[in-house]
Amino acid sequence: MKTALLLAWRSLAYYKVRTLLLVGCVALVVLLPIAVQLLVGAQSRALQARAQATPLVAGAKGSRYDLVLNGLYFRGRTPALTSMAELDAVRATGFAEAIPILARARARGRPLVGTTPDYYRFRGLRAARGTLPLILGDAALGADVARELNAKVGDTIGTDQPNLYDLGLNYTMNLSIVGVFAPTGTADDNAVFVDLKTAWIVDGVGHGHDPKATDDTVLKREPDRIVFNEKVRKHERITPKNLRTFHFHAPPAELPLTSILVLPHEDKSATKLKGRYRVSKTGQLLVPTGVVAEILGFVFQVKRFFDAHVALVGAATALFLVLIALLTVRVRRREIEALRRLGASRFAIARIFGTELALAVSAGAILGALGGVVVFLLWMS
Amino acid sequence: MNGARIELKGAAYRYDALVRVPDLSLAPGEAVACIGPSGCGKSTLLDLAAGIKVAHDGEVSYDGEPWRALAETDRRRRRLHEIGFVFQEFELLDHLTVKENVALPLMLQPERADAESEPIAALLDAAGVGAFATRRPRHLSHGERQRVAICRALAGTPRLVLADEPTGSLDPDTARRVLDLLLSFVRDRGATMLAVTHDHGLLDRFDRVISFDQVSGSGAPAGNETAGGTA
Repeated sequence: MKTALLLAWRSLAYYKVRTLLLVGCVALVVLLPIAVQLLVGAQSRALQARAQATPLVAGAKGSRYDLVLNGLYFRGRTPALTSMAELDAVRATGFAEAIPILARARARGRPLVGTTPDYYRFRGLRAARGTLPLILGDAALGADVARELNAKVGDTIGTDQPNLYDLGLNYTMNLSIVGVFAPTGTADDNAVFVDLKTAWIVDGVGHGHDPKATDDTVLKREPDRIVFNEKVRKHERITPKNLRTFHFHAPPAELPLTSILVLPHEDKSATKLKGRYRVSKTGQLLVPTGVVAEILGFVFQVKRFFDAHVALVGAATALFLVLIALLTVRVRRREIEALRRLGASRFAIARIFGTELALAVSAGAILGALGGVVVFLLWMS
Repeated sequence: MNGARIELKGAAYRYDALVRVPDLSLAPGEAVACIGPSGCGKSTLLDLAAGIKVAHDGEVSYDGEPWRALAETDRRRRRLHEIGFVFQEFELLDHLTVKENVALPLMLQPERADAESEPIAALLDAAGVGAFATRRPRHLSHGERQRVAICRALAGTPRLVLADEPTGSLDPDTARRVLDLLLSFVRDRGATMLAVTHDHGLLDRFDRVISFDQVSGSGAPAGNETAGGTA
């Protein structure tokens, strides 16, 4: 075996290009499925963990996938809007604690999440630097956002303008960064958190301006908005000086929310709440683990196709390896004949060439596996 | 170690046609040259003598034992342990160093795979290629490679050395030096040697010369024997 290993190693080391091609070919075939397997595994574990940590989520009737994805992960399309009245209704039952979430706007491409301090307590979010966003116009960044934007406490972060055809519809504001959360390995790391009122202002439900609007500054009145002339200047940043000029034009009960996290006091309370929502015509109450399991079902169905594809590519590679082995025998016929004439048995010759192929394939497989792990780690970071 | 005794009587091997080789008897320690034109069956003669090919007709024996009577494994084992081959085109492995090429027959024997490297080094020094021990064959000249091939044939201290045109592609001076080296090694070790060649200028170095008096075909086997000189 020692001789076979030595001869195989010498051949692999001498014919470098051939060896690199073979090792690289195997490594590429192995790399992709391992990276995908690790990524899918990690992502599904993260999704499930978040879902398991959230007992119930309530919102307006509509897509349950949008509601759960937005309420838990701040991803996907904005669900149908619910309101503060719904939040008050849940709280009024006395069955559960309710945490409001408005996650519709974005800041520098990241989800802007308006909520209350209850959310930070519930998720175990702790400010690694600075404070929580408790005042109008304050923002606290998730750990990944702060790292990627190289932002620190004292900087500002601008909200995105979602409607490029009517700049007056939405409010683009500069928020003061007052804190950065410690990393949690969840969707919170990639979000910008603000007070609920700040989120409403960014959402266009409230604003601040000087001077006070009067009839001579109104250009036109529409059912859902009033257009002023240029004398009325909206504030783009909330400061202690202009704080008092900010106000809302909707009744408190109608202020919008995208979802409500519902934390029942006990199992019985959860059952009662589910019963109430079963007959509701406007709202829905979901168990996130069930919805996430459905979403993962789709993902794994797609992955099964991918796995089948990888299996076919693997089989094709195996056939290529057989072809390479056969061609090697032809190309190196003189070498084989010399070994045979010297007295080497067919088995010994086959062992030498087999060891060579096994070493190259093993090296390719190990490199591919390591590459897969590296791709996974890079992706996750 | 005594040289091997080789006998060929009426031996023939069938490719498309039957190729007959001369009757031949080599005494232990004897160095015999076999001459003939290209394609007359000289290489077949060596393959039959080494047990690589088994005669379809006639008899070839090694130390009085017919190759035909031995199983393939036994023939191979005897070849590995007792026979050294010098190939016409050297057949050195490019990916091994000179030293590893020479040690190859030992490496293929599990019981001798860990043999001391001093005898190999001494053999290379004696052949004048000791300085190239760690080089690859392709970095050597034609003559140097032939010397390495000779060292490989002798590394396992064989009882029989078979050489196929050992000086075929060398210039006359180099050819004489290489052949003298080979013969001196063989005689020092008391081995038997059978070389096929078409280089008539070197025949006087051998104890005896056998010539094919006709090219391959189905004619009667015969050898024209002349006495050679000693080197």
